[in-house]
Amino acid sequence: MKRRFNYTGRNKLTMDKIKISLNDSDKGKKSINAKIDLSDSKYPEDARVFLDAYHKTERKRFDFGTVSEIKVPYDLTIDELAFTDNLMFRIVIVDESSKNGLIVAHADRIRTDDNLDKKPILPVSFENLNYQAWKIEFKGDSNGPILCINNQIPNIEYIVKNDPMFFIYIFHTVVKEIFLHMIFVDVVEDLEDPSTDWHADWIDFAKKLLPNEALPKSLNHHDENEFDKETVLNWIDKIIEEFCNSKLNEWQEFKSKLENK
Amino acid sequence: MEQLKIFNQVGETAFHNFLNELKINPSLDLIDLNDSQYWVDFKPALVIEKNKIFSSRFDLAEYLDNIFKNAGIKRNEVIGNNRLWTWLTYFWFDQICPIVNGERKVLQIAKYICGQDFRTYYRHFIASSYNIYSLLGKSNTFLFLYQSINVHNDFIEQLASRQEIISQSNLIQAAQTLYWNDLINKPKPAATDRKKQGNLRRLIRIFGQIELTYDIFSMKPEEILNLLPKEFNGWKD
Repeated sequence: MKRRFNYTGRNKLTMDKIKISLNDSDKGKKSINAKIDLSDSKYPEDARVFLDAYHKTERKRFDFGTVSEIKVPYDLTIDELAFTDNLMFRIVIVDESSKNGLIVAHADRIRTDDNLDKKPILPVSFENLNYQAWKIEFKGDSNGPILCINNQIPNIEYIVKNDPMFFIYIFHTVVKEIFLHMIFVDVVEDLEDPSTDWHADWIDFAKKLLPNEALPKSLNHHDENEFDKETVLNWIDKIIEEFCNSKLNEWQEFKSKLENK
Repeated sequence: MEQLKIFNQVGETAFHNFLNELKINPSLDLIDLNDSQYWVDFKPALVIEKNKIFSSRFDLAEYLDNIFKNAGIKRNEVIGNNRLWTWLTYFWFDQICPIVNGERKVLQIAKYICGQDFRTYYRHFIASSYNIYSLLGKSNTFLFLYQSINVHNDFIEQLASRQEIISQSNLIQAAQTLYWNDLINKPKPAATDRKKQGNLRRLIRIFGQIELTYDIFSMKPEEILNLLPKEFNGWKD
C-alpha cells in the first residue's frame, strides 16, 4: 500500500482555491479549464506554479506562472493523453531559487468538478470465474476493489445493470466486504486524509450515506488507543443499512418480481 | 500479410478458455479463432505480417509503432484497446508461447489476455512492449525491451508496474544510465539483485523519497542522479 509521509515541511494547498473542469465539447478536442487562486497565500512570490494532469501512465504538465502572477496557459488541451475519463490533477508550488526545485506546497488527487459526483468507486469486470458467480478482488488502482462477475453466466452484463434481484442479493455484501477489507486488512492511517485514493473514496461514500453520523475516532486497527472494533463494526452495519434504505426502488422492483412469479 | 483485427467478447473468452485448457494440457493444438464470429476488423484497415520474426520486444514494439504511425494512428487511440492486444497475442502465438518438445508453457494469463486493470496491463507481452516504447521513446526502453518477446524481466516488473515512475521519462533515463551497459547491450550484472548495494529496488525507494522534496518532473536525469546517495556511485561508471 502506498503511504505518504511529510518529513519535509511541504504545505498542503486548500482545495477551495482550486477549480478544475473538463471541456470536451470543442470539436472533439479535450481540454481543461483551471482556476488557481493564490492571492492570499504565504508562499514565495516568485515560486513557480505547475498543474500536472495524470492518470495511469499518462501525464501532462501545465505551467501556471508564479505565485504572484498566475498565468493560465494558452494550451490546455489533453488530447494526447490516452486516458482522460478519470483524470486526476496535482498542483505543485516549486521554489526554484535553489539548485533543484523544492516543493513548498502541493495538492494532489484533485478531480475535475464534473468528475466529483460521477466517479465510479467500484469498477466491475466480467471474467471467467468457473463456478463462482462473483467475487471482490483488490487489484484495482492502489489495490482498490473490483467487482468480478462471472462472464459465463448468460446475459450477465444485462442482468447486472437491470435486474433488481441481482442488486438486492449481492450489493450490500459487496459493500460490507469492501469496508471490512479496507479497515481490517488494509490500514487507514489517517481518517481525515487517507493516503490511499480508494480509501478516501469509500470513506466519502460512507459520509454521504450517513451525513449526520459521527465517524469512528479511528479506522486504524493498529491504533490501540483510539480504534474500537465494536464501534467500527456498528458503523459498517449502519452504512449497509443506509445503503439498502437508499435503494428503495430496487427493493420494490425485487418484491414485485417475486410476487408476480 | 493479414488484416489487423480486434477480438470481440466471444473471441476473447474462447482464447482465454483455450489458455486455461492449455495450462492443463500443454500439447493441445492452437484453437482456430479465424472465423469472423470471433473478431472485428481494426479500423482503418491495416495489414500486418503473420510470419514476421521478432528478435526482441524492442523489435516488436518498433514494428507496431511504425505500422500505427504510418497510418496516422496515435498512441492514445490504441493503447486502451485491450482486445486488439489480445488478438495480436493470438496472431503471433507461436512466438509468444512457442512449442518446445511438443508442448507450450503458459505463464500468467495476464501476459496473454490484456485486461483493463493497469495493475496487470504492464504484464501483457505485446501491450506493455508497445506502451513502454510509445510512451518513453526508442532510446529509453533498453532495460525493458531488450529480451525475447515472451520474456517479462524484473525491470518491467519493478519499474513499469509503477505508473508514477514509468510515466516520467527522466526517472527512466536515470535508471538506464545506472543499470544499462551500452557496450554489451545488456543490463549491468546484478542490477536487480536485492543484496547488491544501489540495486533497482533501492533506486525505486529513493525515487519515492526524492519526490517528496523535489519537483522531479522538471529535473534532468543527471540532476536526479546527483541526488542519489553514495551507494549508487558504483553504478554511475
